[in-house]
Amino acid sequence: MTPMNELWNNEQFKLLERALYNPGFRFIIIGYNHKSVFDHVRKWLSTTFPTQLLYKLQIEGNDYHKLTKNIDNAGKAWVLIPDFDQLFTPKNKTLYTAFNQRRDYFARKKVVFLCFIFEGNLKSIPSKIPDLWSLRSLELEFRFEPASKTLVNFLGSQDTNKISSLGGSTLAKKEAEIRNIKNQIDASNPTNFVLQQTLYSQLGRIFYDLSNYADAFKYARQAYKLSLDLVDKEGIANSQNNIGLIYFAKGDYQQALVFFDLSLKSSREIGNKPGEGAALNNIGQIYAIQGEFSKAEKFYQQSLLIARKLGSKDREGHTLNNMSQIFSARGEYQEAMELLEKSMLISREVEDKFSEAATLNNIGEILRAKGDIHKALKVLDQSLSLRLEIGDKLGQGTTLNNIGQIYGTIGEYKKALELLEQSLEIKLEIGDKIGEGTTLNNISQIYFSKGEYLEAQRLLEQTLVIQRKIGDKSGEGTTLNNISQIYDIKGDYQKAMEYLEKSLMLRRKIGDYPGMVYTLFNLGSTCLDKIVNQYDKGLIYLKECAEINKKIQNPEITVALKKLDLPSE
Amino acid sequence: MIFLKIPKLWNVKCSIFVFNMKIATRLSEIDAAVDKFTPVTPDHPFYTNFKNLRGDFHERRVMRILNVETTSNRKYIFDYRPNQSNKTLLFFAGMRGSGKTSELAKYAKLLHSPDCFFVVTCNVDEDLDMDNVQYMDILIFQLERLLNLSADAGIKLDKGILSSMQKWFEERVKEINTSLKASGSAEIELNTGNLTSITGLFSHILGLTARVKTGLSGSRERAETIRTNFKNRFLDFSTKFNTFIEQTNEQLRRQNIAREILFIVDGLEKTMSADTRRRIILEESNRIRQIKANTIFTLPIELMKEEQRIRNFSEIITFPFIKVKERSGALIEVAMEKLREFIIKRIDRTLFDKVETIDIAIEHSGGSPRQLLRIIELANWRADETIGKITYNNMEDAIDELGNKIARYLEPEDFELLKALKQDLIAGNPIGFNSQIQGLLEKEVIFEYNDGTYKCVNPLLERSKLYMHNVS
Repeated sequence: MTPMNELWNNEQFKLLERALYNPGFRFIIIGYNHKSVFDHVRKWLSTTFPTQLLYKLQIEGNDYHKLTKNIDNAGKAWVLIPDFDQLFTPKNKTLYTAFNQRRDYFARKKVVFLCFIFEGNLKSIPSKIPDLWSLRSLELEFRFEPASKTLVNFLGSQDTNKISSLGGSTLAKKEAEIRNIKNQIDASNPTNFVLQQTLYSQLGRIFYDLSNYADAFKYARQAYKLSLDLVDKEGIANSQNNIGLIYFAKGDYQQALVFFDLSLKSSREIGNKPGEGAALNNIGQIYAIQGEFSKAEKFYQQSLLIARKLGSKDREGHTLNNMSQIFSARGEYQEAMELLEKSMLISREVEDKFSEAATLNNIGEILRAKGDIHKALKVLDQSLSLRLEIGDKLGQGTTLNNIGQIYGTIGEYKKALELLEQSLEIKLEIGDKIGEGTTLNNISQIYFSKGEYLEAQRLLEQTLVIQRKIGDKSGEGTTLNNISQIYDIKGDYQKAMEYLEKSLMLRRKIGDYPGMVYTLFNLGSTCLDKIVNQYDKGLIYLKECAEINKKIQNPEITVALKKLDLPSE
Repeated sequence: MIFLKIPKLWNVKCSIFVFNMKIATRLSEIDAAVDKFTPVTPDHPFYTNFKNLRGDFHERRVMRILNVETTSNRKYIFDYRPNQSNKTLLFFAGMRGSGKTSELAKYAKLLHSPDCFFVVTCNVDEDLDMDNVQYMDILIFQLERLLNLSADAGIKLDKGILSSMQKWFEERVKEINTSLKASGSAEIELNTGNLTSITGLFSHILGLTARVKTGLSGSRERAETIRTNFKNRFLDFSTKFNTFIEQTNEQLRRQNIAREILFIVDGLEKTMSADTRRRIILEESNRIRQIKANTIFTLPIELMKEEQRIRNFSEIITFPFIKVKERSGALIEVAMEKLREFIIKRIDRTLFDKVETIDIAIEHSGGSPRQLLRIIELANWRADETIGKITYNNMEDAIDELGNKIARYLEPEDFELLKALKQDLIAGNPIGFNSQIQGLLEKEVIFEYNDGTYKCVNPLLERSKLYMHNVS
């Protein structure tokens, strides 16, 4: 070794000795020009501090947990890290971030780190582990010549991403939670509006999950009022959205639109982007339900833009899913499928199994609509398995219902009923009234197909009672339409017309255009074929049906209208 | 199936800092006295009040943001009634080593009273042992801390409230375990325990949150499974969290323990890489906003450039270094005096050969308490033990060495920027912010003062040969 280097190194060792003399946390950075520095320093430490334990810790090959475990196991030994450079390789980004984060923990434990790093790599330290670096004790540089004339060997080269869970997942649990929350409201200070607001909001949500819209509305309104009193702008926007959801669930789309619009304005006022995105999405859903697909698409696009700007992958996935429904309703299955596949990728990326299962379910529905029964069943099975895995009861009920319907369409009525009964059981268990109505309606269709009209009618009437009780106007419209079919088959066309007219009036009131085309078609064809002297009236119904269908482009109705071969204007 | 052995829970006490620092009367005692890590609170003999010496920063601003009134006899009162629904969210930004943690420790002590807050301090870097901390993890940690401290303080929560939380968490853990089981990972243990008594319920929830937190420290896949479950239910989680906070607030008032909860979350800035810290403002701010609890977070100074975005959902205050020099270069005597006090409280003045030895250290500290301690620490290691004092030469050598060490972290383009900076400083222009400036802040090459518009070069660096050659 040259005299100059020897002098230099002696100076470094002197400082090192002073730094290590007293106990305490030490983060000592040792830059070297040759890896033999490590052995020199270790030897010196053993000689100078003979009773001190030394622990060699390699970064290479160790993950964060192994490293911290080893540091803990080192106890009072000084920790020597010969390949500290390895910490700063790109693949170890989370490792050095975590190392940096644990600074205070190491400091409290009074760990002594001696970290060896090639002098060319020193610059990584302050940028990669700034907090640990800011507590550095000493920075040293040793200069040793290699034993033979070989190239300097760097130790490390540097080159340099629904029902809510409130109240539990069963009817009994949710009811218990309702009682619990009500007790909490009674026990709380009546002037504590903030607490009252959140408790009422929870109640509203749970009743909504149970399809008890009257109570949901009552508590949601109370939460809304409190938000207004508190001038809690975010609370106001949320409450408006929640009330909108209740109206939506009841099929009162006009009122739902009013409240979603209010929520949108409130969210924009305070720059609440997630709230704005949600409101846009919800408005889109209303237009979609009403068959105003281009309007729906506009709102979904705006919602999607916000979701992407926020980096909110789950919302992006949901919106893509909703958009697919537009294309599906128009029979544009290819486009719908593409959107669902995009949504699926996102769900898998963020490991959102709920959304993944829902998307699989929707893909299954498209395949069914396309007539690919075998594939549809396969995909729906996947959806069901996933939903079972994550305990999504609501989803299980939906998928069982859909699988049941497929078996119904291929004539396997026994299997269809089995699955639909299972679906019904789940819906009863979780208190999903809307779902209960839907499944009963679908069960009735199986009996209708089997020719068991009395049983079908009984079930439809049972469904009607439920739907009227909870205010499910959309469902009620469908059931009234279906009841008319029973009377039609029995030859009681006046009665059939009566039910169809009731269905039409309801569907017109709530703006359910996709539903209206069916009812209008049925009215028209009944007048044309089955009721004397009602031909012109029939034509009027069918004309209106065709007009609306120009916008919605329901393929089934398009084909049916074509078959009728109506006279042109 | 593998079951984890979960360690027995223990009650974590509120006091955070262990005081074992005493004034050094010998050179060998200086190491402990200049401990750069341990913050001090007002009741400690080392505490120095740098009031009105940190540019535009004033404690009263913090109090105003927190809606705390200070009476004439230094009592802190929080009136929860106005703006009930508006909880304070405050980001406390400052350079490393400026004394943020000490300042927050001070607030924790001053504001923890029946007329003010129930302070829950969460040291993220102390307690979250994981390699990819996310905001969700911090929230669960906050909840666990609150439960622990509530138990310590004897807060009597209603059985209904606890039952509601316990059921919700239990359902989540069951869902998580279903996913963990499917992937072959170890499940989170679900003890049944005594759920009939309030104490039993309390312990149960605490156990659940602690185990969830432990689970987050497990393998990456396990942690992601847990996080994903809570994230997918974030709306419900935030509803439950907020309700629990508000109910606890009410009980705190009933028992005259405090008016409301205040979380102080220290160490958030250490948990992420620089680019992730920036992303948090875009992505996690929505979740942060949904939590309705008074919270102070620490924030790295470089995020001050996102100030406009941050102000959309929170308040932000800069905690700058102490200003030792005016722009003209003249020393600010009152700051010098205070920093002398800062040193003399830790190290007996007789351990310095003269006052100028202390002063030269202060001048080159740039107003950073941590840098000042570092200079003295190195000077001590250079001191001759036979003389038994730190001399002016020791201090100068330490300053030179530290300056040269900082210089070696600089790239050629950094020197170019420093040249431009020097011109701007001479002209009295405000210095803006960009990624290069950020890099220099990280390397402690430049220091910020006031609200960040006033920057200057680290005085240690100005002494270095490289700097003098390339810039001066």
